[in-house]
Amino acid sequence: MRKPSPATLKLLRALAVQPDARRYGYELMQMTGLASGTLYPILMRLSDNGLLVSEWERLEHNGRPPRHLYRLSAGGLAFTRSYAAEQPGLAQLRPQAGTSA
Amino acid sequence: MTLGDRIALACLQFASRIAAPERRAWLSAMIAEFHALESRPARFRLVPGAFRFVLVSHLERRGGIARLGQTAIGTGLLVFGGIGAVMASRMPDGVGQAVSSACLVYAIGGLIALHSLRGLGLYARLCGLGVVAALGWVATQRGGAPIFDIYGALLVEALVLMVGLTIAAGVLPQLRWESPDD
Repeated sequence: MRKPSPATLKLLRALAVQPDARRYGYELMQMTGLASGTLYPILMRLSDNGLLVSEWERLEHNGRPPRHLYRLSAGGLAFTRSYAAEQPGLAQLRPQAGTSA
Repeated sequence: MTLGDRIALACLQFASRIAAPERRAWLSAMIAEFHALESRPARFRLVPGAFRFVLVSHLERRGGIARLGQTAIGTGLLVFGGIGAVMASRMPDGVGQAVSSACLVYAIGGLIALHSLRGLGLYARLCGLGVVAALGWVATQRGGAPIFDIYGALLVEALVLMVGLTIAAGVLPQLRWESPDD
């Protein structure tokens, strides 16, 4: 994957704040301020590159269809942290001494 | 569900149908978000996003730009030919026939374009040569005087269009889309 755009970095940062948390698409739009037409193509590419894990919700709520959930893969987290070394805005994502990626 | 919601949902479902087949699950995800969201503006904002996603899904496929360009050229030529044919029916006989002939050439080009870019390139080159020959013939008939009437304008228009189509048919398959969001 070539150097990520600012929008992709914004999304990676949002996903990496709590790497184990699974997020809805709308939640990510709110966290990043990205519009759906920008967010979903980025999610698609991250998924294609193995940096994102996407899965369907298991349970239905009030008869509405299950939603898609997204979280970083281990590779995605490592990738994000590798950029944290170069990006001041990602400083909080740098691995701490004694922690694994 | 209000009428607006139904229309928005129909748009999303239409977007899902026209998306690249291997990307339809992402549109299903957007439709699921639509059902889950309570904010109507947020739901409606998914609609333009879905169509942008459809565009991206096609552009990022191998040869996606060529396919989109092919469809745009084919449809454009058919519409152009159709409009011209309607206008030709209201023109005086000689001019009307010339415009109708040009429109027929464009419409045939449109049909070929929808089928094959290579075929369009060949057709445009042949028509271009035909137009050059016609320009030469008309000029000869007029003793080499420049053609400044409607017939000359039609021939020049056709020549410009055929040159453009020849270039497009050659260039489109080589284009590769680089997303600014990547």
